[in-house]
Amino acid sequence: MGKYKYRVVDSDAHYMEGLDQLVDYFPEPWKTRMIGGSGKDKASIAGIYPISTGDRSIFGRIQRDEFTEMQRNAGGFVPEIIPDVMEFLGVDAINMLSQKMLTFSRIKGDDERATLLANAYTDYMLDKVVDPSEGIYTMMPIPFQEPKEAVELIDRVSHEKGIIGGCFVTAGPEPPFGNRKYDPIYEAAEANNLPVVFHAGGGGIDEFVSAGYEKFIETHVLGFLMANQSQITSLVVQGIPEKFPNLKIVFQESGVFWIPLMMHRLDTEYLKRQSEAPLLTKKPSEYIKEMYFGVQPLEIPDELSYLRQVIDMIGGADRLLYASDYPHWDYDPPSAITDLSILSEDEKKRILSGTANEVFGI
Amino acid sequence: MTQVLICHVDELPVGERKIVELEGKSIGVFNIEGKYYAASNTCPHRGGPVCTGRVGNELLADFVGVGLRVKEHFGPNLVLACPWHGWEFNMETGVHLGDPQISLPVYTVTVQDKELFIEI
Ligand code: FES
Repeated sequence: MGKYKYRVVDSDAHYMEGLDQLVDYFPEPWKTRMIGGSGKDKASIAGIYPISTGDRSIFGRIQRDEFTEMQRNAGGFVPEIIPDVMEFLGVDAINMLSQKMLTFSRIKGDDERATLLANAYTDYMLDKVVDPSEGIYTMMPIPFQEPKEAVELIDRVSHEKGIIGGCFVTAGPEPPFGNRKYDPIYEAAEANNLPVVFHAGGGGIDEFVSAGYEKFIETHVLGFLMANQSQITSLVVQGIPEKFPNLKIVFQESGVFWIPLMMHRLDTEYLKRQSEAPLLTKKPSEYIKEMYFGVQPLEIPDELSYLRQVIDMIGGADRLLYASDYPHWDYDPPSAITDLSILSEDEKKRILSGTANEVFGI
Repeated sequence: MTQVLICHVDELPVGERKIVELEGKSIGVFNIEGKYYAASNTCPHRGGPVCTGRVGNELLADFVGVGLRVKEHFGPNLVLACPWHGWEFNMETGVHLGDPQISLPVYTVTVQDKELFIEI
């Protein structure tokens, strides 16, 4: 244990991989394209990944001097940097999610890219980065655009100790994740005891679902929230927890205040339109209270008792996972939890590492 | 419990319903395929005239296989839907289909000498 008197597991940090790190893990002809090899094929990063707009650093206001220093020492964002990140945060274990995968759900045409990237990233992370003995883990990005290939990836790598989940990015999948098209993926995840993690995305100014917002604060406040709201609605109403009762479902990166909103709003409509959710055997909120939620970016109201009520409404600290989101602009250090006077010692332990142990086995 | 006379059976043929006022309460009495039901006509939601709503079979669905469209069908239970916002209640028990904590008061209907009574 480092800075804190608690064991701390960071359930969501980001690995800032460069395309050059993944090159060797692509099959041909993509590998040659990536390295700009001989002949006519040459890929640019913009040709592979959708990018997101909006200045995360608020035009230089947010600085990560310590992160710049770490990268200078390590020679870029390379695997060797992770122990420094962990020490800086004060965490004992870390789940590093691909940075580039955050725009994954916007891959719609030519969906081969999703499968290529998910496999290459997973293989790279397994080969070069994850190290369970050092507390370093990752999640495979789920190439949900091609369910059959997603199942193959799950079956291929779920047994790896360094892989602790399958990640769906919630910004913009069509159809949404409750659709039966994705059933085989959930079936495979359940069979492999692989938690599925729905991670928010979709805050950029230009790719926001409704055009015209002028500032990133607007699209980020709304985008990350709406992406998770839309997917939790689809999952619950379509009865994914009924179809796959042993599937562990996690939502990340929209704070916690949105959860009771969805519980109550869904319940209110369900009482009126129950026949449209005929697989459900209980109210939507009851399913949500069986899910898990990363707390970042945690909202801290002036009146802390409001946060307490939110936590109570969603089923208590048992549902919550500490997550930093480092090195992103709005990251939360563990003190976001350790400083909270409204939590008991047991609740702090539970959020900082107990829930991660239950969900991810780390 | 008191037995209150509603009407002669001939006044409530199959498929018909009656809304009656009994002891200050509005109550719906139904004859559905020869079986009688009675329920409060005051919806526990916002007081809507629930007994004027549609009666039908409960909509159910089966998960018939991974990746397949869920199979929707009607089950045997009769349900009453409040016309104001759609809350649905089991005809027999009055229990809300979406939340067992909510229920519409229902009453037992008996037939004696071709006359219908309910117990309230
Ligand atoms: S008053 Fe009956 S459903 Fe609202």
